[in-house]
Amino acid sequence: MFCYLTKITQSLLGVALMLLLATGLTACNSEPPTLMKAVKQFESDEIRDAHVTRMRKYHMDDLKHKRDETMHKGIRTEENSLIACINCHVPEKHNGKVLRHTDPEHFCSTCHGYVAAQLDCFQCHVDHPVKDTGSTSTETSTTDQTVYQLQHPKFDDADQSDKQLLAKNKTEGEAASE
Amino acid sequence: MSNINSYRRKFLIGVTGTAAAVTLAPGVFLRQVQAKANDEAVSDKVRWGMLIDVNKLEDGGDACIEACKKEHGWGNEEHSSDLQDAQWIRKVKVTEKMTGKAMSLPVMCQHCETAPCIDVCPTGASMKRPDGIVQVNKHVCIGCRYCMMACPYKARSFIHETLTDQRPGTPRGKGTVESCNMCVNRVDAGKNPACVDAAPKAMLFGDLNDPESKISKVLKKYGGTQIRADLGLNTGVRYWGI
Repeated sequence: MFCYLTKITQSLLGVALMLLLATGLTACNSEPPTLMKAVKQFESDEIRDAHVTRMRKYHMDDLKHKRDETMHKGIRTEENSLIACINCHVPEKHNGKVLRHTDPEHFCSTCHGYVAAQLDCFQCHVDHPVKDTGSTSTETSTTDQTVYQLQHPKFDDADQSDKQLLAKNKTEGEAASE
Repeated sequence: MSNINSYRRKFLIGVTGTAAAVTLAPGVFLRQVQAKANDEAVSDKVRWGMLIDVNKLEDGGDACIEACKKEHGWGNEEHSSDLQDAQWIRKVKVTEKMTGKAMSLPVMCQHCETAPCIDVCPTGASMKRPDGIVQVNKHVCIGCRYCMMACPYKARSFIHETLTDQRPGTPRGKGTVESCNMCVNRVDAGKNPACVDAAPKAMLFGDLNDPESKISKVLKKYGGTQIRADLGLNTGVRYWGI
């Protein structure tokens, strides 16, 4: 009798589990999420499709490779540059406010949220385009000659004091001769 | 490097240098520093350096510090205490006990040739580029802060809080160490560091390896003081008037 009851409970549990799984699976949408449209559009559909195919699979590798090249070799091309990605894929303002990577509409976060892959870039990098307003008022180049106005202070001062001393001696000498 | 090897290296450099000087006509320079192309890798033919004339810094370096804050976006950490604040450049006040002469000077990463911060870094995050710029590769920094302990100039600081809205050219994030990177993004674009542009009469930036550069010429003529020269680190930042 006891054994019979356990079997019933077991089968009931099994059915319940099956039902749960079935409902869970049907609730899961197999359609990938719609991504925000990029600001810039490619010249032709072929180039766009090639870009999309490449980036879907390899964007993480490309970004990682580029970051090392930038850190160690100072290579700062637009290709695979995170700033270039952001400038094209994230609008400056979305519905009147700055779009953050914490918002689900953010280009990167849409997919990263969908596949539950952690997005670490924006712990350090800025997640939206920033217009470079020029950090300092006087922009000079490393080859600009106008910045090279440095004179050695000791020698300047020495010249000045020598001249004063000479002038003093001269006036004193003139006074003595009179 | 052992003494023998360094002697050998110097000798070889001397031999090749003489050969190059002979083959070149007078007035023809070996190379001139131009803004490098974006896709061009930095080379060890260049060593960036800076000369700071403390007597000509009227404000003791305040303008430089402001320009640095604006360029790299540090200095507005809300949740960090005074001891935790980011410090890319410090204004250091020095008073001579005997005479009472006081002065203040900006002290930042000195971009050592043999940097102690690189020696102690367990992950290779603390690094020197071939052109002599010392910086932190935050992608591999684990925030252990050994480099902060090792730096004799107290040039590095640690980010204690979550940050947003960083400057695009200067990524900064919680849990990593940071310091002056000689405005590496500006230098790669052929510009001067922000502090040099903020005080053009008191600061000079250029290539220490190029004998024809202005900085090399004035350093050859008048010399330049290194802070803690006794450590033999061969710093890239030199001072006048200290």
